[in-house]
Amino acid sequence: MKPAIDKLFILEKVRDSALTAKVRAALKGVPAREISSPEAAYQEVLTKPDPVAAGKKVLLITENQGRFIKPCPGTKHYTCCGYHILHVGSYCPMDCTYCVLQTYFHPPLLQLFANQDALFTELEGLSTAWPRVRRLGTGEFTDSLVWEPLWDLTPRLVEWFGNQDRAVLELKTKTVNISGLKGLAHGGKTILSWSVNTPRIIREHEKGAAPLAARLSAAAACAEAGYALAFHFDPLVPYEAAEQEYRKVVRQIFAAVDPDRVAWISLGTLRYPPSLGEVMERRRPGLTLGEMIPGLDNKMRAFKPIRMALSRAVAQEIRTLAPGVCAYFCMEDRQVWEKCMGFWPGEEGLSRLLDKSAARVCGIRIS
Amino acid sequence: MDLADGAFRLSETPPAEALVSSVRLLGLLSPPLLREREDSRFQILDGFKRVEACRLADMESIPALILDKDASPDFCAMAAVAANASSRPLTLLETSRAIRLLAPDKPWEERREVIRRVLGLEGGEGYVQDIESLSRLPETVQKAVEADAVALPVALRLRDMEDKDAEAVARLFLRLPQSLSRQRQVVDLVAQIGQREGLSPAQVLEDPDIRRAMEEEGDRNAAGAKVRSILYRRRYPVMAEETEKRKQTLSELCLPPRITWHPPPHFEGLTHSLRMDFDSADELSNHLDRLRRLLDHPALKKLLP
Ligand code: SF4
Repeated sequence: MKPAIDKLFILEKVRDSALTAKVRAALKGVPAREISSPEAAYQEVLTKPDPVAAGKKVLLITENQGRFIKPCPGTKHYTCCGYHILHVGSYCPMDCTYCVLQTYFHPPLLQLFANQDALFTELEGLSTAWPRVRRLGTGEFTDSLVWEPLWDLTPRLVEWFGNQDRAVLELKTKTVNISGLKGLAHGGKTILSWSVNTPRIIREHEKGAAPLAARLSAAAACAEAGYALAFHFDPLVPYEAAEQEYRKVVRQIFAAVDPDRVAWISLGTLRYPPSLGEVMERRRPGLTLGEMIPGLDNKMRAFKPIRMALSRAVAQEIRTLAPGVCAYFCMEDRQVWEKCMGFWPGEEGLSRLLDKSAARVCGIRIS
Repeated sequence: MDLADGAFRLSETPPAEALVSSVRLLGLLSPPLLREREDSRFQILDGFKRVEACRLADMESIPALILDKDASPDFCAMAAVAANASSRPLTLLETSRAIRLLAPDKPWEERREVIRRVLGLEGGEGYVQDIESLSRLPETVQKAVEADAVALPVALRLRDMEDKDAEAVARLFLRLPQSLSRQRQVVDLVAQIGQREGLSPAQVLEDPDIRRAMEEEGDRNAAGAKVRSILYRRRYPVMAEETEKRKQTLSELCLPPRITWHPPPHFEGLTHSLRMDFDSADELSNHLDRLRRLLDHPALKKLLP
């Protein structure tokens, strides 16, 4: 499905880029304006009563002035997975209540970067500039596949990664925009990953995202096409029937796909900075009403015994159905690891664990 | 004189007994400010309490200052407010009523100037509107504000509630006065419980345990703490239970005085800390012995799994 864009801004500098031409063609009929500085686009969003919602309909084609490859911003108090972000665009036209991007970007505004050649130049230097980076993904600052109707960056990335064997590309999405992935020379080095949740959370808190069944059918189709898969239970939201409902999601996953195709499954309970909590309460109240406490990283998190009980249930279900799949926690401490997974990989260990899994499922060299 | 005409009334409190007896003894020393209405009856602009005191003292006629019949309503309002504000500091609610009287139909810039000059109140439009809104709150809430049982920031939160909900909260604070931070805590808890359980704040406060705590005679602070604890346990049931269990475990350790155990706040993180206070080497040595013996205590395993 095409993102519902109301207004298109194009930075003059990138007016003649290939991306601009593609987006213009795809968004025929959407009012477009060329601007010399991004300020006009920012004002378009900031002057609206709800900039977070307004920003989901305003797209700016611009340049990435910084680096395309960035380490994922983990914190020292919880075990981080050592992931690296490919910053290809910002913000997201879908609307998840808990989305951290709502307060991460100032202003919240859809942006796609036209200087994609610079991205590939950075990737060419991966082995020298980032010798230990094995896992990269486009799905942290936007949804990896939501832009498929507007651009062709994903196939280029998939084929670039297919041509090397030292790192994997993870495309993380809540869409089912997979038609452009068929027939690509992916070499097994791309992992298609879906954020999953219970139908209730999807219905109430993931506006514009595909239903669970559609995500799982898309995953099965990608596995069929030889892609590796991953799933992210993020956020796990504690509520009364949560344990049974999340267990059911695990069962649905493994009814749809072969565990051998799954590189990893992450578990992360609901967490948010207090400023995001205010936005969540204002825009779609409900999620902040659990038993939340301030964590060591100052983010609000579910009270530890509650999140351990839910995480343990989901981890157990995964271990029962797919004992060989690498399940891990996103930003949790040793106690939660030990109580729920039965082990703690150590500060550096999680990164190695995931690299090994990528080597096993995708065939990258990690020596 | 139309005693029922309260159009310019700022204060609802009746005259003090002392004022009545002073009027009885000395007569009225400071005449009220009146205006003659179209129907030729007099309307009080300032001096409601004094007029009432004279009535209670059975005076049949009193001296008064009377404004010109064709004084505009805006001028009368300014005169009424200025007369009150120059004789005593106005309470929050009186200020609110005064603002409502001052140039209500004028554009903000003009109005701000009138409010500044007559009332001496400076502030942005939002602030002035906030204060002004207090006198539109339900009566019980106004009473609680007047009695200092509801602080301004909390009154503004009650403004966003349905009248019956705001009144239920105000009744709680009138009965069990609390500090501002505790008022805030209670309002948050009540609102969140309501959202979680699909109840209105008034329905949340109908909890029989809360009602009992409100009706109890005796220590109001303790009753206030009890209400907060009831609300907290209802809002955070698992946290309350786990905290209670941890307290119990800590008490099983039977730590001697001057050694205190601090578990990780909110159960987050793994680091516990101990604090030892001592005045002598002997005391330190005793503490260390005691701590060494703790290592085998079964409660320690529960605390440091
Ligand atoms: S799909 Fe992802 S990026 Fe998009 S709104 Fe939801 S959480 Fe945010």
